[in-house]
Amino acid sequence: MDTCDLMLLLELEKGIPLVQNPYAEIAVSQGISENEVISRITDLIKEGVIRRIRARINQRSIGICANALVAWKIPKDEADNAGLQLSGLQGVTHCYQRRPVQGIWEYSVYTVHHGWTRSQVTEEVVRISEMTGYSDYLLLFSTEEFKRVPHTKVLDLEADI
Amino acid sequence: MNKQMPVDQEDLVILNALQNNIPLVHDPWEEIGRSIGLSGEEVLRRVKQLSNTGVIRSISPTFESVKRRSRISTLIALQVPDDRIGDVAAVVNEYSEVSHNFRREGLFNLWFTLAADSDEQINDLIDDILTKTGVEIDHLLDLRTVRAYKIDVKFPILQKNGEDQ
Repeated sequence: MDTCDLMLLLELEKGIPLVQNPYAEIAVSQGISENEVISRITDLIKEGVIRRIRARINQRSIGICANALVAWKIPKDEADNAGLQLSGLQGVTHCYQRRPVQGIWEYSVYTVHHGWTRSQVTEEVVRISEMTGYSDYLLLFSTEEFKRVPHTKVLDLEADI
Repeated sequence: MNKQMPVDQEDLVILNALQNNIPLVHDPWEEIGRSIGLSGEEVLRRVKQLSNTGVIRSISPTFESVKRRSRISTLIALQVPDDRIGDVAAVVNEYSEVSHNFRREGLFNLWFTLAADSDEQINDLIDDILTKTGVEIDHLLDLRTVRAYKIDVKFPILQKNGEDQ
């Protein structure tokens, strides 16, 4: 990854322009050819810097309003396997292993699920529980969003250069 | 901010394609249109509209987590009286180290993420938040991240089977 890649990523992070040929327009702003824009993005994906380009959707604005954090009570020595397994399932948008609070809060693995309705989310989690055998869990539905900003910024990548 | 926008089936099909991948070609809308039976012009027209109404936040890259600068992070849960939750949430929102802050059902009703460069910084932030909000330490869970497995947000856009109850 070089300075030109970094400039390109900063531009892409703002969002690609909504025109017929977005990569051509980005090329003009970067002073390189459209082919180079496309080949650089392709390389950044191959190198594992980015995964893909996609739309970030405000799911609530179209009615996907049900959102649950699920806390799974899984013994410490099984938690990593559980995290790997749960993170690979369709419908899981986030998956973390976290340090439990002993004697107070023994949940060690956390997943996030979204749906059009609460019952859709609940059914999905019940299905996952039956499939995996992880039967001790808490469904924590969100009722209000106070803050939500994207985690990653191109600036976080700069340390790698 | 989260007002619902009217979207039809074509919009949903487009959104579903868009959340998966934008092709790296001269005219990506044309290629997306071909896969869902719409013209490139129609796809672009609708994408612009969905963007203007805020349904599409942006069309941008997803960054691989392994390549990110290493940060220490935690999920904090607070137990806050219902009549104070708006005030406490507002204090929490002030911190740039907080990226997500949600009210959730249950005994612990305010859940937010904290990220910083060290465990000490996280500890200091927690102390600061407790002081500013007046929440007691035994009304707080500090769930430090041991491992992040996946950050890949895709919604079940085409699984709209029935109306909200």
